[in-house]
Amino acid sequence: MPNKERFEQLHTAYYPMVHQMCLGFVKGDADTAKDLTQEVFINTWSALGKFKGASSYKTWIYRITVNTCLKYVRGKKTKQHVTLEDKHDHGAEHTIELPHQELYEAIGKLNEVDRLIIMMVLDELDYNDIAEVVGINEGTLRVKIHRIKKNLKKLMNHG
Amino acid sequence: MDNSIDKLKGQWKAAGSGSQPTKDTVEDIIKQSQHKMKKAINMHVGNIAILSLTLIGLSLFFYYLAPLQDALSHVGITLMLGGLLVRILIEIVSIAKSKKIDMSSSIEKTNRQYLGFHRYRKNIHGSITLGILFVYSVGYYLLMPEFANYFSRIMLIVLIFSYIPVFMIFGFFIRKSIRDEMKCLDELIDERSKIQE
Repeated sequence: MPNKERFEQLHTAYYPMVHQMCLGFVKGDADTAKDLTQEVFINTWSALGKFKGASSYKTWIYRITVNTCLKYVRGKKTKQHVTLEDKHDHGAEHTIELPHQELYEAIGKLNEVDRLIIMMVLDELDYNDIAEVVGINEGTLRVKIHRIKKNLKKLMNHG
Repeated sequence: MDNSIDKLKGQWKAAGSGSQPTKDTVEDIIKQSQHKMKKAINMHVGNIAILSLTLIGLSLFFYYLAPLQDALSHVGITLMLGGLLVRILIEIVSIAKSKKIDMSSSIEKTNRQYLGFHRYRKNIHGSITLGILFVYSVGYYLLMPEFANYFSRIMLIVLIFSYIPVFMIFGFFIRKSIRDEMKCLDELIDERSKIQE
């Protein structure tokens, strides 16, 4: 049985980080982001008993967040999972106009993996931690980030 | 470029400053997590229970109600029960494999685990299930020569032909399952190329 107190601390400490990642991932769709954030913490609770301390809690939660986001989008594309999709399948119709909607929309135009990487860069996570979350070496990651930044700049300039 | 990224970082920070968790969500999350785990276990146990009950039911039927005597019938019964038993074992292995997927691993590793799992599922739904269905069907039809001694001609024809729609329904579900697994595999392969490109 995972430690409830520790989970509560993690939830309080990392909720804003996870929620913002989810919000950016679903292009500013606030309802879906809220459900996706909850799904991340459901997975966190399930995995907490297996946490071995090989990385920081922050990196560990980032890994759960990115994998949950990718699983969500995969489920949506294959229409196999009907939990979140059924509730929020209309995407833009449910999108509330947020103050930073333009930023979310630009990030949303990147492919899913690039989207997650750039959000970790914007969150100022160390490159070696991002490389660990993605599972590629730091050199490859740097090249990737350079290309993503270029793409993002293009997207923000041209809409 | 760096200036614009710094600007974006500023916007990103400002955008994330408003989200705070509500007090009762931790309890909700734990309840939901337990509910989700219970649901997954029930689903897996349900599948195995249905297959096991079929296996037990058939075994009792052939032991008490229809103790067939011919060697050919015994081969048929063995093929039918053996097919079901293999299917149950495959289902158990599938559950064990799905439990090994670690959502707290890196994107690359989790993607690799999902790929392995769905490739396994594709094979199960494809060639292996078709093989089991074929073996089960052969077993079923091997019972017919001895059934001919006990049933009327019309009853025998009903037994022979009533199996065909059952076979077709199974075939339809196998095809659907393969398609679902293929879609999932395509997505995972596409995701993998995005990680590695």
